[in-house]
Amino acid sequence: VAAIREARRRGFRVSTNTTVYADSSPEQVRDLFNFLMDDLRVDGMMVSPGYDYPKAPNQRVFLKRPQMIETFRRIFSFPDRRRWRFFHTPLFLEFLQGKAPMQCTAWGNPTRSVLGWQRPCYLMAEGYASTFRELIEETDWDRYGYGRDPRCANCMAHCGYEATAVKATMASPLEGVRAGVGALLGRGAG
Amino acid sequence: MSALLLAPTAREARAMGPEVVVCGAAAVARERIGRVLDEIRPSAIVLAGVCGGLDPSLSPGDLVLARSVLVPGRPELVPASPLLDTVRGALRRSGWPFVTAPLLTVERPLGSRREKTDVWNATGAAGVDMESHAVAAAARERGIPWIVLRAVLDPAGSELPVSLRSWTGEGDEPTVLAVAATRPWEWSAYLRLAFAWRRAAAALRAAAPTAAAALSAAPQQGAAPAVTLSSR
Repeated sequence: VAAIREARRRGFRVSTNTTVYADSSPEQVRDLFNFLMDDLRVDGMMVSPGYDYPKAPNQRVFLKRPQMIETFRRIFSFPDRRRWRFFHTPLFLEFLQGKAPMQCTAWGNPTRSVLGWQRPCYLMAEGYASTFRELIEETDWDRYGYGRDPRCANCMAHCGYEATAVKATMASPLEGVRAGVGALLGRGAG
Repeated sequence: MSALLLAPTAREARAMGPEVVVCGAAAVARERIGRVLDEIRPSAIVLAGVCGGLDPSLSPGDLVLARSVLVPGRPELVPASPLLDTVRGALRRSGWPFVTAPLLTVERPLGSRREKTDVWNATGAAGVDMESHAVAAAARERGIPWIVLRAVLDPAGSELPVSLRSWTGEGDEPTVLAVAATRPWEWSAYLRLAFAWRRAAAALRAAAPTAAAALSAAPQQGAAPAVTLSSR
């Protein structure tokens, strides 16, 4: 919190990224968003449900997909929602509430580190490709996603789905206008 | 092993070629499939036809190779893994776009986007049809290896005309068309379906015989009855 205040004081653009788990009640998330918006005055927020890492020792903290949808419906039903600025497309926020169906875009956020280009998905740790061409051409991209890979069954993370939402927004003049109006009204794209 | 190619309707069978057996659609398939399999005694089957799209990334003509078939409240049926891998490899080599994912079987077409979205969120099935589970269950009971391959007809983002939502087989079509004739606001949806059908039929024509050939060339799996490739 002190770092956010200092970054804001020095004029940096500050965005937060909130991960929602099973033990995060919608009321707690609402209070957190109000705190970030009203007290810390961050420029915008991102939000995503936690990915249920199979190797995590405590599996109870992860939401299953129907619970995620219900939790996000409750979070976005609070009247406070009008004050929250998200760095997300409206479509992604609808997806979190189960209103817009989407498939993951596994190539949407390529990750490179000293180990190389990380194979999809970065949440699964499937190894590395030595070149970008190898990553793109040798990966069976259609193998990943909800319904296609059991490891994706409870994933609604923005690393894969916001890319889908951006593609859909750019492909639809109506969605593009929605996102643009949201940004112009000072509420962020969401 | 020689694989029998099955299709729910005569229209789907015609799209795939002459040596395809029609097993019936929806409830007819549930009633007839056991008799069809007992009469023909195939060593393996490929059920191929169209489906409604639930996975929103799929377009008309995209193929779904069933990783499993689902019916709410019943056991999920899974094809033999080596056979699925064999067919998957053959389809990849053919170059036609496809995904390997669950298919859901229902009793009535899912017509609205809302319904499709809810079912997609609940099941993760890439497509929805009205026969796959019954056919797979009948094959499984008889020890016959099976594969299901579907081509998307109406994608997740489209609405089926209301007059089509009670379709249960080709026998209903005169009635459906008579109702549709009185609902001109649905004609554009039928036109879209007609274009989608051309793409779905082309996909089936290209991929279903490939899948059947791959299955026929695969090593024998389990205790399967006599070999037959039957014609209608």
